[in-house]
Order: sequence, then C-alpha cells, then structure tokens
Amino acid sequence: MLELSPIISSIVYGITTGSYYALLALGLSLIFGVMKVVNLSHGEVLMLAGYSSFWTYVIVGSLGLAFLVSPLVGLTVGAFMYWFIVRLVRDKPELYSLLVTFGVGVFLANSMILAWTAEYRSITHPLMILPVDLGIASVNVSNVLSSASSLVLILATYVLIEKTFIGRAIKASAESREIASILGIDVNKVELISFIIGCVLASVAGFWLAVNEYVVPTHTAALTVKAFILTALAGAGSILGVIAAGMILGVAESLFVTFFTASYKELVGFIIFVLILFLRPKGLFGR
Amino acid sequence: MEKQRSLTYTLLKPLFIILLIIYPLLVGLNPYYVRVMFFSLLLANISMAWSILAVAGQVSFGHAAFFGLAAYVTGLLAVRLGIPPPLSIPVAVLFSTAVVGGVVAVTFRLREVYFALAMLAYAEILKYIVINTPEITGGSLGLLNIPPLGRIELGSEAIDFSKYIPLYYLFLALTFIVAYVMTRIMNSRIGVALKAISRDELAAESCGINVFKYKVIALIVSAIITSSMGAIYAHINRFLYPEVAFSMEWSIFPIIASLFAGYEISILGPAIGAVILYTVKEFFISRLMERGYEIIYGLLLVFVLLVLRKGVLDYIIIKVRELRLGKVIT
Repeated sequence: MLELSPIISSIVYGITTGSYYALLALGLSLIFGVMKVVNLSHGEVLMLAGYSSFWTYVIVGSLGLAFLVSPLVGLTVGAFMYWFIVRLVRDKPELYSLLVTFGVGVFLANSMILAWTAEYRSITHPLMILPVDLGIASVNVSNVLSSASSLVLILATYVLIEKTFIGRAIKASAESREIASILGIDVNKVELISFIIGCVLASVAGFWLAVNEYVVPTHTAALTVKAFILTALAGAGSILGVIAAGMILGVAESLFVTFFTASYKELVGFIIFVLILFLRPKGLFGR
Repeated sequence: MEKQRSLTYTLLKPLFIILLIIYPLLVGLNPYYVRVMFFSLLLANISMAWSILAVAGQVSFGHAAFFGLAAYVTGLLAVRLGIPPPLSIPVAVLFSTAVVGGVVAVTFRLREVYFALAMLAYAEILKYIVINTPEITGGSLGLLNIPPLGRIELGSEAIDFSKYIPLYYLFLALTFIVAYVMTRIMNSRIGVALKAISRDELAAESCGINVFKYKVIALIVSAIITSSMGAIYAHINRFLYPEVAFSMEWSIFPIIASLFAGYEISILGPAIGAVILYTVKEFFISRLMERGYEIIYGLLLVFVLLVLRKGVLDYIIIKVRELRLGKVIT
C-alpha cells in the first residue's frame, strides 16, 4: 500500500499555512477589489506590525499585548497612508497608485533595515511550540491558532462586506464612485475604512509571521508578491475565493517540499501565478 | 521665442557631451570615479529601455529578467563552451530577447497591474531556475571566471577592454548610440504611435493604429538594450550569482530614475535621471549612511508622483515654457 501518512501530514500542514496565506492576501485583495489600488507596500505594513508585536513581546513579555498591538499599528499606518498618499492619486490611472505605494514600500522597508538591521527575529513562546495531535497529523499550537484566527477574520470581513450597511456602502463605491457619492455616500470615508481594514488584516498576519516564522525587513517585497499572486488566483474582489487560493498555494507548496526539493518552494507560487494569468486572467472566482 | 529655446538647447547639448567625453580627465583618471560613471551609463541605457516600454503603456517590474538571462547565457557560452565574448554576447542578446520577449508579448493583453507583476514573476522564475541547476549554471555558488571583453589590436597599439578607461569610452559610445536610436524612434511614426497609445489605447486603436504591433516593437527595442547591458555586465563583472544577475535593483532603479526625470517629453530624460541619481547615490549619500539612498529615493518617488505629478525634468521644461509663453502673451 502506498505510504499515506507523509501525504496527509503535508496536506494538513499545507492547510494551516494556507489559511495564514489567505489572511496575508486578504487585505491586499480587499483594497484591490474595492478601490482598484494594488497596495505595493502591503508587505511593509505587515512587517512593521510584525516588528511592533515582536518588540512589545521582548519588552513587555506579554503575548496577548503583542497580539493587540499589531492591529493598532495597521490602523494607524493605514489611516495615515490613505489620507496623505492614496487619496491624492485616486483620480489618476491605476498604475499611479501602484507606483506611489511602491515608493512608500521602498521607503518603509529600508527604514526598517536601517532601524533594526536585516537580522531574523521571531517571537518564541513556550506555549506556541507545543504539539497538537490531530489524529492523522501533528502540528504546533501556533499553527492551529493562526489558522483559526485567520479563518475567523476572513469570515468576519465577509460578513462585514456582505451583511452590514458599511459593507453595502463599500460595495457601492467599488461599483461606481460617482453614483455612490450622488447617493449620499461619503466615498472618501468609505475608502478610508476599507483601506484601514486592509491594513489591519495585514497587521494580524504580521503578528503570526513573527510567531510562526520570523520578521526580517528584507522579505517584504516577497510577501507583497505572494499576496498579489493569491489575489490573482482568487480573482479580484472575491473574499471567500482568497481562502481557496490560500489553501491551494499552501497545500501545493507543502506537497512540493515533501516530494521534490525545498529550494523550489518559492517557485510554486510564481508558476501558479503565470498559469492563472495565461489560462484564466480573471482568477478562479473572479467575476 | 523659438530661437531662445533652441539657443539654450544647442549650447547645453554639446556642453553635456563634452563633459562626458572629458570626464575621466576631470577626475584625474581615478578608477573609482570612472567606474561609478560607467555604471551610471549602464543604468541610463536600461532606464531608456524601460521607458520606451512605459511610453507604450506597459510598466514593467521585472527588467532584471532580460538583464540576468542575457548575462547568464553569455557567461555560460564563454565559460562552458569557450566561445569568445564578441560572439557569445550577440547570441545571448538574441536568446534573451526571443525567449523573455516571446513570453512577455503574450502577457500584453493583461490588465496593466497584472502585467507589471507578471514581469517580476518571470525574473524570479528565471532566478530560481538558475539556483536549482547548479550542474550547468553553478547555482548559488555562482558562475566564476567569465572571460573579460578582450582587446582590439590596432597596429602596434591595443585597446584592452578589461581596463576601466577603455571600458568607459565603450559605454559612452554605446550610450550615444542608444540615445540616438531612441530619439530617432521616438520622433518617427513609431514614436508618435506609441505616444498615442500611452494617452489612450482605445482611441489609438480606433484611429487605425495597430496597438499590439507597436507594443511589440517597443518591447523588442527595450529587450535588446537591456539584454545587451546584461551580457556586457557579465564580462565586466567576471562572475555571476543568481541574486546579483536577477537582482531587483536592475528592475527598480530604471523605474525610479525614469519617473524621477520623466519620460513623457524626451526619452533622454530617464538617461539623465539615472546618471544623476546613481552618481549622487555613490558620491554623496552612500558615504553618509548605508541604506540612506533607498530611503531618500523612495520618498523622492512619492514626492514626484504626488506633488509634481510628472518627472522633475519634464516639470522644469514645462514651467520654463509656460514662463516664456506668458511673456509672449502679456
């Protein structure tokens, strides 16, 4: 009989990373879907929040406080970035916001390198590395908690967009800014809120990055690109599609590492990206 | 009014050219200063190459794909098969233009942002392929002992292109050629078509312009220039690592230089921008603090896009023109 356990355990591991990937991409995907803005400083916002959590944990020693700090950072950075930068290029073509946020990203990433060097740092909490036996496979407490919180946040975002008044306002301005503002929706406020939500989601992913892996300012571009790949795979504006895209990439990477070589791992995402661009440019769940 | 403009222009242009020609003498043949200047010329060429594609409405985040592939192909041909650089360089340039260009042309139909990041993906894919084929490329350990460009015998004298001074003049000549060809293209039918496409693709198409054809022309020009720079770089540097050959720097610097200077009025703007940014970085900022230039240039990019809304050189030219016109009207 074919040995099944390595396949199953790598799938389980893939699903836990996959849900984290979904959280990583959701902020970018939401902002792209609502505002047609690709926030190329997504990875930097995420990393900044990861660092805030890391330093909070190192200085205060409380994991709970470290978890609470990251969304606050996302909120502040998001509000600041939208109001002083993104809002000013909203009347320009799509590429404009891409290039401006790219400039912001270059600035933030290198400021972080200057401030904290390119050293790898991570939050190591004894509780987080305890193994959890799932019957078919064994993972860490941190994997379980990060997948759970990712899924909760994604569902919360879905409910917020689909079931609440503010969500309807967001969807209306995504459809047409002009008509939304004629209907009395304060488009700037709605976009500010969506941008902040996007950055807060990235920040929580930053916390889990610090716990599950490590924070290092040189990896920010790779994170942004991964988030964009997942957005393209899901299709712009599809919130639940992001979960599927995250799972697909997480499982594909994990299986690839198990059966081939770990050094090709990063290539999996790029190949999926190119394939989806060639075969289905609207993404799997895009309209 | 027109005469005034052309007077400044006719004075500035030869002055600039003469300065570039006597530059090695100005710095007392100091190899460091010469090296910095020819690197800035290399980046100037890539910036012009990036800009012609940007004029065609295709913003690329992965010109390192052309650069790195051509560098590796010529390096491999020279090291593994012993083919001399004058032959391996053109082969590498054609190969990289055909392979990457072919894939890129298919991606043209994508929405702008997807295209920009697809280019980045191509560069990354090539990088991982090189890393994972150590038997051929040397992988992460690098491709070493690439032969230098060699020498040209002129009677009893010989020009040795492994020395900095001849190399500088080789680059200067290449830059003049690229600048000349680019200006000719931009002033021709092709340039007019490209500008029309960058303003409004749909309108250009409905005026009977074959958008795809002109984009492919811009792509080929862009690919040939960037690949040539990569191939020559391999023989100057004498060794290649995947992280260096496919470095994001080759993709990012031309973007910042071109947007800083502005490419809408003249294709030479990006070249001037690259020379200014690179020399300022090397001579001033890098000496003060290590990561300083990226931080400053990131901010500069945001400033240029948000406040000036066009490149610095374009902005100055437009302001000067407005002042003159104002004088004429009042």
